[in-house]
Amino acid sequence: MTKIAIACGIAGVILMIGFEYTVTRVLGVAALFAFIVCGVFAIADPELLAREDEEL
Amino acid sequence: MPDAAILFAQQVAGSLPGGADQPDLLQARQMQALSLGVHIPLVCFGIAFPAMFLFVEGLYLRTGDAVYKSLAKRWSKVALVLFAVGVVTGTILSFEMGLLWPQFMANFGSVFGFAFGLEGIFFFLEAIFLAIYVYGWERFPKGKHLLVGLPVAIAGVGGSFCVISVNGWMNHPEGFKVVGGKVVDPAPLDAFFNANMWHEEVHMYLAGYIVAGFIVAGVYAWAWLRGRRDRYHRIALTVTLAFACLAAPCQIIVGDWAGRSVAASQPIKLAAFEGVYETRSGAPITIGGWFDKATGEVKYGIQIPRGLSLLAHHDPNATVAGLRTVAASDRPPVNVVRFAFQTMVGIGTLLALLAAVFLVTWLRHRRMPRSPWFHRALLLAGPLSLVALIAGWITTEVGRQPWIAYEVMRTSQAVTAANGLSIGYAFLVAVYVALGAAVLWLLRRLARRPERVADG
Amino acid sequence: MAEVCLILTLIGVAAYAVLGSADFGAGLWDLTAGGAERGGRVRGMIQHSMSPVWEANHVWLVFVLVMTWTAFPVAFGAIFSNLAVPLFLAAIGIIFRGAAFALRGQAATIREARFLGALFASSSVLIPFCLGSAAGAIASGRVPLGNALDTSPGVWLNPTSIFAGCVGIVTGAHLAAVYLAGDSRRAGQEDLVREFRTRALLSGVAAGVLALAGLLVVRDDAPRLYDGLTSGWGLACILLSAAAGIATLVLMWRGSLEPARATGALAVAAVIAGWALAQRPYVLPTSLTLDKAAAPDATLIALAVGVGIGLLILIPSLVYLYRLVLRGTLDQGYEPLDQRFRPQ
Repeated sequence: MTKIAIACGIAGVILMIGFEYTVTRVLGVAALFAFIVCGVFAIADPELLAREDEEL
Repeated sequence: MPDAAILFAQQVAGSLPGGADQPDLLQARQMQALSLGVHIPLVCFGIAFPAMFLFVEGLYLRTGDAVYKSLAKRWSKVALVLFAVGVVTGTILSFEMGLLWPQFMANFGSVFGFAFGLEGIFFFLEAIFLAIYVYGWERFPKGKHLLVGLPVAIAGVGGSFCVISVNGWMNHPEGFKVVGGKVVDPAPLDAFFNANMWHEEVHMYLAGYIVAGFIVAGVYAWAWLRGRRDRYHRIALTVTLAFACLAAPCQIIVGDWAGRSVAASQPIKLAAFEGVYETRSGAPITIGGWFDKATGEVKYGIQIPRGLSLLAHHDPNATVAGLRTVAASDRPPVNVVRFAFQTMVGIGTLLALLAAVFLVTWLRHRRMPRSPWFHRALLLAGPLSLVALIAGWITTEVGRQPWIAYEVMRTSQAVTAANGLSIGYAFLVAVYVALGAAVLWLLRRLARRPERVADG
Repeated sequence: MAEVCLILTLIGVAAYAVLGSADFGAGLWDLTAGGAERGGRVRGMIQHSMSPVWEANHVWLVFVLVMTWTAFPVAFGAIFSNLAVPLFLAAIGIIFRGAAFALRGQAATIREARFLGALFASSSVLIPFCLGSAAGAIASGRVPLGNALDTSPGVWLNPTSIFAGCVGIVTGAHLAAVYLAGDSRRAGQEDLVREFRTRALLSGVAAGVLALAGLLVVRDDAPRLYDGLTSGWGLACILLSAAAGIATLVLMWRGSLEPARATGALAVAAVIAGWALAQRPYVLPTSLTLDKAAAPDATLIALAVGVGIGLLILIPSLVYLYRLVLRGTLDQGYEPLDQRFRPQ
């Protein structure tokens, strides 16, 4: 999930900065959106959240 | 750039007869700005908060862990309060459309009103399902409760989609013809899907997640700094930071898109962003400083050569139109717009940097940063993101002046001819101050009530 | 097409008049509920029955505004610029009312509750008066077709307007009492049923008397309106409203609380219809007809279709909400307001 998120993020940046066509805008926004969604699922993963913090 | 004759022919005279000149135009604008400024943070929550509490409820359904449920429940109750305030401020905005700008509404209501009709439906759905969701905790079978919350998320996005479309239209009026100074042949769908709306939509959605995410994260960061570091707080921080810190870097990218669109369709606005007086190629960006109207220079700033041409057109030698290309009465106030624009970009950049700290830490350690400095920065991030939000709206709204519908109707033509605007303005300020204090009081009361796992 | 949009708008007006004014009426009862102990039970019932639905109620108002400014933009501009004062006051009242009601649930001392309650109640009287008087101004032909051409107080403080405002207040009080009686029965609070039933009967009679007096006033003040209300379809609606009003009183007297909700709503809706029919064919008598006021067909069609599809989703949702409320699924438990005043 993390890797998908990063890939989407990079794709989004390239599509949005590098080009100015309608198609690339749509795909770019979609890629950024996917970056956020996948990222949220990756970061707020219940297994990670369930771990007790050791050092506190 | 249309020349003066064409520009004049396109302009709409009022179709509502008569009315004396309005000496208090600035007050009318301030009233509208105040109401918008009060409403827009609530919009951010309407856009982003449902996704957050529904996500947390989803985690509850996945894990069965009641900590998630109590967090989602708490957030949804806050959302209800904020929504109730949003209903009130939104109703005031609707009233102000008529009270302050009757000539604008009389002429263009038939063009963009359709978008508000749709917005009303979304808004209504949001009210209904939010009430069912919040009052229905533990009254529905588990999966069904989450389902009942989905329309809230959809409606929050849908409603703002419609309203932002109207703002996009104001900056790029389409979907009508002007014949003899009157608006004819309104085409509501053309007006709705105007060329300007798309970057505004995406930019605002991301802003919603940034503002809501950082403000809520800030609340829990405060608790964290005071020693409350149990799982409840950790989850709250992680979820809100995930949303905000993923959205913040994207906002830079989308901001670039927005800036380029403005450069293409509203070059005078761009010139005001930066204080470019003379048209020139290879235009610099000046960070800080003050635009001197008399000389057309930006004094005391730090210049980055070719910066503006690069940002606006991705070509360091591109030509940037100057303020001088239009008459002085057609230029927006420069220093307000410049200052607001740079505030927004500056804070947005800082937030993206904070987000980068979070994301890099997470990539390396699979947890949020432990440093108290990070959490102290979070305390600032929420209010700063609010400042950036308002600054951004000031940039685009004041940058659009003197037009209420860009290059078609002036704000001065749109305003009411009624007297007593100053009194109304003073009254409204007092009311909003009282309301703001009351909301803070209410939220603090709510926060103080323990809502823990046992609460269910 | 203009008629379709007008009817949609009027449905919104009727819905707001019924639901919103019931909210406002509750404010009046809140104000007059009595001291902390006696009044606490009444106030608690008011709080209890309004929470789940009040936001949904007020969205009808925005719906009406939006329909008007899209389908009848010139009329909208004229109304809002000339009636700026009452409409601005109504807007301020809406802010206060919403805030006070939402905050009241959090009051922890008698003083806090009293202050918020007073704020709530006073705005609940201000809003129906201002909106009612604005309606009266329109109906009596006092709104000129122009940008704030006449903003003198006489536009909205004239006999017809004042009566319309007062009728609005009293009708709201009556409807609120009817609904609160039904809610009390659902909550199993029979003593409160009696309290609200008494209030419903008294305010219903008062509303009837006021309405009749109002008709006489209108006869002198706005003859055209009077003719519209006392002949043809206008008269039919007024008679229907009177019948429904009497039916409501009878049903309340006999203790049939749920049907009384329907007849009470019908009485108000019929008045709205009667008003519109009495003004035919004008939107602003006598300077702006419906045909002249209406936006071009492209807009009206888009609006009607868009709103129509929206209503197809919205109405079942509303029904769902009301069913859940009436079934008690969303009830949060009744408690008299004075419980909170106990020291923790």
